[in-house]
Amino acid sequence: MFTKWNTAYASAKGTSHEKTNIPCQDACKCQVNENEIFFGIASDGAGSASRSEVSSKLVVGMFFDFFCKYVKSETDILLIDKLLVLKWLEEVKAQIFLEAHKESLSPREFACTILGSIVGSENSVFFQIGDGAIVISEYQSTEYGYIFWPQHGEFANQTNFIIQSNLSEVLEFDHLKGFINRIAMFTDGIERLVLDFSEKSVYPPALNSIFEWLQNDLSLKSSESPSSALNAFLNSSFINNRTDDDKSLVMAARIFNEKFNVTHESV
Amino acid sequence: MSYEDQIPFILPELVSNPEPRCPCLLLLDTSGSMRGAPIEQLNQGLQTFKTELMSDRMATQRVEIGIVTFGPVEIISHFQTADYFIPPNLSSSGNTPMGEAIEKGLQMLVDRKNNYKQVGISYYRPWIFLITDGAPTDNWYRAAELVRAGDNNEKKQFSFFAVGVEGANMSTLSEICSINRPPMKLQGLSFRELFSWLSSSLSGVSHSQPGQAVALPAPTGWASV
Repeated sequence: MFTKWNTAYASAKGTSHEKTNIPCQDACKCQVNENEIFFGIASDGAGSASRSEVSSKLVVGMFFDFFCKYVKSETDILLIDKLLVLKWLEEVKAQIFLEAHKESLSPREFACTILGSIVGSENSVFFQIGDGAIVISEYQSTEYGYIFWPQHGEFANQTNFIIQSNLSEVLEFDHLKGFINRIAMFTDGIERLVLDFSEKSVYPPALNSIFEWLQNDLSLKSSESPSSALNAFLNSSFINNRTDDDKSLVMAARIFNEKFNVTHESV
Repeated sequence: MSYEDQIPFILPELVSNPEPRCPCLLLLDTSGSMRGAPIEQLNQGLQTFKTELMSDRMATQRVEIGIVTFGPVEIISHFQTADYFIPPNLSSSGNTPMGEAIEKGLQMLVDRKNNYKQVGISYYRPWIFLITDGAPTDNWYRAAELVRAGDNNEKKQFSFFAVGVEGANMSTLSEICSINRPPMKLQGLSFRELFSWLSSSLSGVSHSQPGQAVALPAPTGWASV
């Protein structure tokens, strides 16, 4: 079955940051490689960390380079294990500590989270440190599942960050087999709008219409620049009335062969 | 053109999760010595507390107030959000069973946290605020142990603050409080300023996001140094 990913991503500044003139501390990106393997990364800079807008961008940039370098084909996905992701994280962390040293600041000022996904046609890899979540839906399923539940401590304003010393303990990592049809990755700014915390589940109506747009708007291309549609959505009062935090959203849906062929014919 | 006009998909239906809660427990001395101006000012302070919390949309929905008075020990208000909270009109009588009040209050907090967990409501680190003008007339050692066991550098179950009104035994309060959080002395009867400070501090907590340690405003206007 030949399919093609349609993707979109965007990060937007929270209204609490607008007021205090703090830049958006979230960053995210996604891309599809030549073998239709999806790469997605999102990072949320801690609200209390004064330079986390630097580290979240660094995390996204460096992990993209790792993904592009290590993953060309489906079999490469099988070779990614927790140890390799930890090695990548340590490299990123070393770079963050270097930046902190250059600015004579504590690494705490660069605290940020990470969500990572690599999705092939049969195999996929997911990992996470901190809050936010990755949710997926398999082919011909109307249900969504979360990969890891957002990491929160006892209190609402606690989570894990990649500058911590116990990364091997807090890193969550998973390999999945199966044909993933839809994927959404989001930082904690919108996790409470998509996840039902009482039921500990994903709330499908919070995502369905966006996925339908991604699957049906054939003029979209797997873009490598942020999506103006998602950017408008994340900056809308519809969202800002419900959260004052920074927020990032990465979404991808597969378009199936018949539709894909139609676009080819019409071109 | 507004952002809404640029959204090419039907607006999704979002989840309305309950707001995270920030419990604040007030342990208030209503013993006989508080009679007159102190209890009147305390009552006015509670009115200010409600008014100021209500001026912050998020704090209104997130800060939960519980009140235990002592002289004798009585639960005046179970935990409820600021919009439902009705400031009581307290009167003073009796002695100062502070130890029992602290123990009762801590149990209320444990029960409240269990409620939160059962229904999947997230919460911030609770605050306990003790206000007294005297010294405990009951055994307070167990209460002090519980306070110190829950508020220290390793265990951060809650933050315990004590405020002494004129006449309070500050050295006993020091023994009850965590070493990191010594008791503060109220300047005259500036309860209104105290509750105004408490409201803005709690607003700060209720707006905080992951990773954010909340810096408290200086207790100016009500604490004497």
